[in-house]
Amino acid sequence: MPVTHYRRPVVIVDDDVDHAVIARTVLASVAPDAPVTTLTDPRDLAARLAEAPRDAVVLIDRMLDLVESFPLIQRVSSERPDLRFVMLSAALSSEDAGRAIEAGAAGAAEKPGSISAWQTLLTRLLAEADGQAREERGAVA
Amino acid sequence: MTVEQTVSTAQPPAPQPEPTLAVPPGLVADALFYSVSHDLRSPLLTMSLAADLITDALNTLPSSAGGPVAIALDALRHGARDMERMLQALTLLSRARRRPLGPRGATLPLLLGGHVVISDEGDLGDVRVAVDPIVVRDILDAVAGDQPAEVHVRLDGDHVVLSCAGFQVDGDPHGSPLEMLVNSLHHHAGTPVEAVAVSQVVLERQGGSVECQGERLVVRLPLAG
Repeated sequence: MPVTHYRRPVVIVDDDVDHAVIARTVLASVAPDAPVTTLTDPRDLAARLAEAPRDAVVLIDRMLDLVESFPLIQRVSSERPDLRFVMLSAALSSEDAGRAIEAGAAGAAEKPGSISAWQTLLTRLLAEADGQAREERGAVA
Repeated sequence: MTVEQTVSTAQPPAPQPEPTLAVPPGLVADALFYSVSHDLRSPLLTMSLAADLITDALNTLPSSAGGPVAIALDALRHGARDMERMLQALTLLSRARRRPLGPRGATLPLLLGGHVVISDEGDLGDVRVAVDPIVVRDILDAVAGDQPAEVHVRLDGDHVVLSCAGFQVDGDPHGSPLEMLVNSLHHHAGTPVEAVAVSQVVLERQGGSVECQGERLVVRLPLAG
């Protein structure tokens, strides 16, 4: 099982409580040191994401209470450019992935169908977030 | 014996119009496709992942402890994989119905490069068709895989007709691959019939068609211009 030393905060936004719990369980196995916040209530998400920990990776479901999350990503990422949004969905076409990127997400992926595939996906997403952070630090230095 | 006959002089009732949907059927189909492919996949994912987590937990126990549970979990995973295979077919059809159409237009050599082309009409190298070339390549891949397909080409009015040999499907298939797929997802999901049916959806949106005639696929492509 891949274990990373990733320590940046992670926010899981999913109104399907089961999926949120599974994502959190898998995160605990691949990045046990990462602080994780789970938001499953789709009300007031913009305000709650505005208070997310600095530099957090936000794993956000595509559909939240029957509403697509593209506008939410666009709104929050313009106010909080430090947040790194990644859209996850049970079914995601390449066009939808493109819309997510246009809205300001750093990535988009289909939710995997096995725990091992979840581990691989989350390990990759966290490594990409770490790589981006290092690049930004390098650019500042 | 007396037979009484009653002859009605009344006119038969005028045929009533069929009840219609308040919203266009295409929109209903798109919404239904999306609901089935997305909404059903979500709880299916939950079941598959829960089975994985229970298996992980079982693996920490002595091997004799979880025997029947392990068997049941294995069956659950098999069922989930089968359902996933069928939902994937519906997802691909849904996306083919909704996806924006790309640039159309390609010459026959671009479409058929690498395949064995037999022309009944002489040199057709300058003939252009008004379809997305990737869709035609997908069909040929479904027919022949990595191998060159044998393709007979002819002109028919304002269409080019490709007849591709070697489409391996159980039985003696005839007609629309899309109908074959939706009539038996269990049988055809994940097979070359699925790939051709998905291409058929896009191709028909561009004025073409696909038909199965035994081991041949007949593809009609509208001429450009």
